[in-house]
Amino acid sequence: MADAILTEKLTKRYGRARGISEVSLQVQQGDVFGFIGPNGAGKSTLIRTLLGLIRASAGSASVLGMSIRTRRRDLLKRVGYMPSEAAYYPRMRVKDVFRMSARLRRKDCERESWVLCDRFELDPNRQVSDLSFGNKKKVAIINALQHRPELLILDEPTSGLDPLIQRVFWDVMRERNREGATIFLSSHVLSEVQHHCRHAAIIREGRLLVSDTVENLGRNAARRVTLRGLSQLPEAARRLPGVIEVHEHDNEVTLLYNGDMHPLVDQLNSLQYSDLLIAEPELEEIFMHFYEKGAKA
Amino acid sequence: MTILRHELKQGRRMAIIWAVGCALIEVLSLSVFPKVKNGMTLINQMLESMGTLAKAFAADRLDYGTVMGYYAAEAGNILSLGGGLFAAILGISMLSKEEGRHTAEYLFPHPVSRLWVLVQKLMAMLLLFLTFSAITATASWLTLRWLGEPFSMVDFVQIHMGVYLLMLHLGCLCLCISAFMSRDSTGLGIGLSLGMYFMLLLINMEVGIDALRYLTPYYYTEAAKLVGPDSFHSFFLKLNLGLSAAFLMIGFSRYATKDLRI
Repeated sequence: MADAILTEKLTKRYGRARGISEVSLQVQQGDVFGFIGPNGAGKSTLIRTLLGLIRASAGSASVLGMSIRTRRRDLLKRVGYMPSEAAYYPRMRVKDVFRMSARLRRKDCERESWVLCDRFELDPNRQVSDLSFGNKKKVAIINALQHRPELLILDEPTSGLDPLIQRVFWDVMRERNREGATIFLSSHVLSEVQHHCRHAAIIREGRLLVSDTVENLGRNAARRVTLRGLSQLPEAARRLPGVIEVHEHDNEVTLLYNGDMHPLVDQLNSLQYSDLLIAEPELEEIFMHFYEKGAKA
Repeated sequence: MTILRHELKQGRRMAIIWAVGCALIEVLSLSVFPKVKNGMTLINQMLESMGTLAKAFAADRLDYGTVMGYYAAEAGNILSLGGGLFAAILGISMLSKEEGRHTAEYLFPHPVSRLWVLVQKLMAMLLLFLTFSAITATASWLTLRWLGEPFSMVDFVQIHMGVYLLMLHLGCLCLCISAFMSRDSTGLGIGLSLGMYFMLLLINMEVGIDALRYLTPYYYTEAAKLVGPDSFHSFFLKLNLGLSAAFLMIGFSRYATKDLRI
């Protein structure tokens, strides 16, 4: 089975400005893949390159086994895309957006759009220009879903949606994924990637830092160590190789540790503390670790 | 033909407003023809006193005392200028508006090639020009009939064909420019159209810059050249049609490979 997305050293430069640099990424079919990075990291650039809105400066990429250079039209028939900030033509009603999209795809999917409008509580008769940001987001979601694509590429899909609609969104994503659709979404909301995605990649300043299962990212050698009843970490412990960051406040010391556990435990044995907690870090901490240090996993 | 239908829907209001506006001015101008005809002695004296300026507007070559001479002068000023501006405004935003209004991110992730988008937009543009021509020609024809003066239908058709060809050339040029732009460039389109009209005035004033004849489509589509025994100058017609085709090819080759700015 071909990969849903496969890029090899994909690079996009805007003159001297950075876009993305040598991004090699693999997304398997049927996966739910989170693409994480802060604003300006290159998430949208990668997505727009995959869709043929911008042309790669170097490297290659294929979507559903089809080259983005030579088979753009064929692959777009099987892809649903949701931009982070959708804009529509003036004087259009919501249903006109879906109708035009269906005609451009030569696919009768009006009934599906009605069902989705119902689920997302969106009135199809409203003028698009009158819609709030959140409701425009719903239009974009339905537009990406209505033709039941094999691959969904969603650029920050939940930002601007209220929690109830976010729940509906993830319910629909789960259903589509169970039916075989691959979901590739960019986000800077790490908790949703952690809860809903099976794989994730982190991009920083246009370069891919790591790509792995969400479980493995969390299971990374790094551990969050919390010492209660201790106000300050001694210098000897602080200097251990593998200590990434230390926070001390309210008679509690928290450190992120990525190294051999034995020297750390030896150091901790000599300390007076009331409670010790060693846990896998949250994805957010992993992200911050990669992001702040720029280290490669 | 979804994009063609969509563009027609988006552009028809503008086309109708421009056409009705130009038609109203044209009708009002024509309605005073009987008074002009009766005051020809005074008008001829006035035109003579204008000297080179009268030449600029082809008043030295037209007989204002005949309805077709008067119509050619009015059509030259109102329909050519109005149609030229309309064509430039429509053409220059045809492609760039998708990026300027951020709708490119809605349109282009659909399975449509950029060539097909451009072809449908071109067809929509030409149909909107036809709408403009149909409205202005109908209003003018009805007014000419109402005046009751005999007029040459051949001259009338040639004048309106001239306006259509002018819009075609300006539209293709501006569509080509639009492929290079990513933001609204209406000002550039208006400037270009007015600049080319100004070139015609300079040519008519015989300032000695012959090269201008090759640069402006206003020259060979000028109504004053299309009444009486004359018709379209074959060389300039071919030149402008060739240039229009070249503009479209340049525009497409740019549009097919450009990075869409969203």
